[in-house]
Amino acid sequence: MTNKTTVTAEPNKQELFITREFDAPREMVFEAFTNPEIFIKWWLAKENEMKIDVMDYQSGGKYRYTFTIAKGAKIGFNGMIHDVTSPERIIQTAEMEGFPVKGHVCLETMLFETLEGGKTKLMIQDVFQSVEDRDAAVATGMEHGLEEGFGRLESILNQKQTN
Amino acid sequence: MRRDVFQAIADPTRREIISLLADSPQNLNAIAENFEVSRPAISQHIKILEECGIVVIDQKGRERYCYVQPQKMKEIDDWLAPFRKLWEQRFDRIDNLLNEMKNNN
Repeated sequence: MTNKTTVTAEPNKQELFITREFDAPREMVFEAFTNPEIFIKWWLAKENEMKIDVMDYQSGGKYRYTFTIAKGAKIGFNGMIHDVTSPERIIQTAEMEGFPVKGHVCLETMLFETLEGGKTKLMIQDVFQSVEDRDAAVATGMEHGLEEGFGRLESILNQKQTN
Repeated sequence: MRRDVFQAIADPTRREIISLLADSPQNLNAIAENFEVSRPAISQHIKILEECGIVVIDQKGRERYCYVQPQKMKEIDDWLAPFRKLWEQRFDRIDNLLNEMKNNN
């Protein structure tokens, strides 16, 4: 049985939360997020579409990776790694390149908590500069989701109106 | 096979069927008239929509009327759902990698 993923993004707030439990010790979960060789295997459905330029998980380090989506558009993410307390916490910035204007940066905190029975709870908190930025980030995630064959009612209704 | 609202709307014909039924319940023949594809193909799509819980079929005499389930429509309309799905898929891939890592240790 797959563990439940919780995503919380209340209306008119600048933050969102993602939580998930893993049936593995936190050193391992931490490594899945910080080792580029592992990270590249799960961030996208197809790892060959992704290129990691740099991923240096230490305090003061940085990361940057790019990938191409189906429409041919290239998407890049980069950020500074503010603090790494292995294996329990990462604090970093995140900016999506190609967001119409530069300077829309998100502050991301990832907490890895040890649970009983060798399990780990991951909590991601993303704080954006504005409600609009947060909603755009969710919508971008939505577009990635569409790549994998999902949509939402709005797109159905839009499609209907144009027919 | 897993059936959920996302599978229901993964296919463009099924999306059109849902929008059609969102306006008003219709029987199978009336739905099929809107499409180029064969009636059995539409019937198959309706069956999947029913299995996904998004369409309910009501037998009235010889007619089978199809309705959409408002609660399931709400699930689709949940703006976070695709974002959540994206992360669910990432986390599922992490689960597989963690299992590999455990086996290698």
